Order: sequence, then C-alpha cells, then structure tokens
Amino acid sequence: MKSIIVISTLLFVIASFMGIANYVQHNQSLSEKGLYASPQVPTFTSAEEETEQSLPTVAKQLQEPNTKVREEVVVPVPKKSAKSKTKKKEPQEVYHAAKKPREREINFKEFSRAPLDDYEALPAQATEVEVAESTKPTKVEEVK
Amino acid sequence: MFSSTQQFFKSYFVQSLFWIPIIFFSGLLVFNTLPYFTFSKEYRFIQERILLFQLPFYSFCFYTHIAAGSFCIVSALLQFSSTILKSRKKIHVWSGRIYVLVVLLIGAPTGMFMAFFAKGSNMERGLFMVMALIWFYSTARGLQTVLEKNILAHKQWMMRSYAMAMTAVTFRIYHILFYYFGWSHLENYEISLWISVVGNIVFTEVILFFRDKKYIQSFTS
Repeated sequence: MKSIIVISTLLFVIASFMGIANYVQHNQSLSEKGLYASPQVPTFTSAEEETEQSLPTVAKQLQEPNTKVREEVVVPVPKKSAKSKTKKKEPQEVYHAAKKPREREINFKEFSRAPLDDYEALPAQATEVEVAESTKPTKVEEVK
Repeated sequence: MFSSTQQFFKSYFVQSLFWIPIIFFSGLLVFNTLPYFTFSKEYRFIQERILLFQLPFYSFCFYTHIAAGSFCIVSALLQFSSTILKSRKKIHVWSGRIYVLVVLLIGAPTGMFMAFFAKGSNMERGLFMVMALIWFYSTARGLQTVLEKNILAHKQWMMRSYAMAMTAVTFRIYHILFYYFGWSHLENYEISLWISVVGNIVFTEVILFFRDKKYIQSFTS
C-alpha cells in the first residue's frame, strides 16, 4: 500500500509539471493566433471612444483566428487626435467591449456545472459595416 | 427510557438535517454529470473552453476527473455510515480502498493539471491547486494512518479529504444562492469558490475540534 503513495506522489508531481508546460504552450498558441495577447488595435479618436464602437479588425480576428488572408482597415488619424490626451485602449478592453457578457439565467437542472458565463455571438458584420461607414477608410489592403 | 428515546430521535433528526441535503445535492451533481459522457461538445462548460478541449490531454483529464469525482462523492457517502461500518465492514474497507485509489491516482492529479486552466484570476487558479494538494495529502494521510491502525487520525484525515471532495457540491449551492443577490457573474464565481473551499475546511476543523479531545495530535500522528 505504501508503494501506492509513492506512485501517486510521482503522478501528482508529473501532473503539476505537465500543467505548467501545457499552460505555457497554450498561452503561446493563443498569442500566435492573436487571441490572447497584443492583437492589432488601431488608434481610437476621442469621438470614437465616446461612441464606444467595436473594432472591425479585432472582431474579425476573434471570429477567424486561422485565416491567412486578412483585411486591414487603415484609418487616417488626424494629428490633433493623435496628440490628444485620450489614452489608447488596452487589448483586453477592446476584447471585452466586443464580447459583452449576457444576462444569465440559472437553471436548477444545470447544477452539475457551474453556471459559467458565455458571451453573445459577436455582431461582427454589423459592427464592421457601422465602423466602416463612420470611419470611412481610405485604403483597404489584402495581406497574405 | 423516555429520555434515551428522545435523545435517540433528537440525534437522528439532527443527523438527518445534515445528511439529507448532502445526499440529495451529491446525487443531483452526479446525475447532471452523466450527460458529459456522451462526449458531445455542445455543453456550455465545454463551449466556453473549446480551445482547451482541442488539447487531447486536457479532454482526457476532464473526463477522467469528472468520472473520478462522481465516484468519490458517491462512495464517500457509504464511508460515513456507522451502520455499514458496524454490520458490513467489508463494504467500508473495499469502498475506502477504491476511494483512496481513485483520489490518489486520478482525481487529485487530474485536478492539479486542470487547475492551471481554471477560470478566474491567478488567485483562483492557486486556490484550485491548493485544493488538489490538500485533497491528495489528506487522503494519503488517511491511508497511512489506517495502515498504522491509528483509527482516530484516520477518521480525521478522511473527513478532511471528504471536505475537499464536497467543494464541488458546496460551490454550486453558493453559486446559485449568490445569483439571487444580483452580483456579477465573475464576482459570484470567485466568492462562491473561496467560500466553498475555505468554508469546508473551517467547518471540518470546527467539527473535529469539538468532537475529539486529541484534535491537535491528529496533525502529528
């Protein structure tokens, strides 16, 4: 029976190391897909910040992380707004602005799993059109 | 005679108040875990972690963990029955052996692995890791003490182990209760998690402290 304690301790330690290794690897793969860290975020103007519009490029990246063909919308930034004191939005803020948690209903039958939050589907197309109209992009590039 | 009968019913009533909700919620938890074994990805819990479920080892750990957890919760209920312990000791022994093996070889290691990907901040991930560690350690000590024929210490360590297994149940109870307080989801999740883990530990230690005079010795024996 004591050998069980030894074997299980080894197993527990291995599981811990595997957890660390997989955690690092998983985070790296998310970063490569642009889902976790530093997604491309265009600069906001103060007017855009007031209306809190979503970003088309980020929304697109979130929806199609594996696509190789990417559309980049270049928004002209006026010098005044570039120098303005309005702070740049953090990637996390942009992510959460794009994915707003919905009101949840707890069903007693779902006791087995923690009623975890889920997000409404991204209104990607709608926001893209809205933002595209409001910002009037001058140039659309296709990057392979 | 009357006094002893009254005492009997009083203790029986108090015990029922404690055990009936535990049995009910444990059964409900296990029952609602069963659909996961269709291996469908449509469940919200899985949908939320769909990228993680692309890792084969994470999927393996998840399914083995919920199977092991369900088994532990059910089998542990048998272990606390004094009737089974007195009249059917073999059931207690074999159920206990399987519980210990499942916790040490499956439940705690897979729990430790999954803790790295748990929802919430690093504090919550750390809490899950500590939980897995306590679950593992208390079960191992429970096994060690029973091999040394130290029954009192064995009882105490196994109660600690069961307290950790029951966090799955108490977490869901708190989570549903706090939902009606109108707290935001993440706030509710984090508070429920901390209260269920810390609350179960404190509750068990309080029971042990008042039940056993040799409480302190249980840590050293």
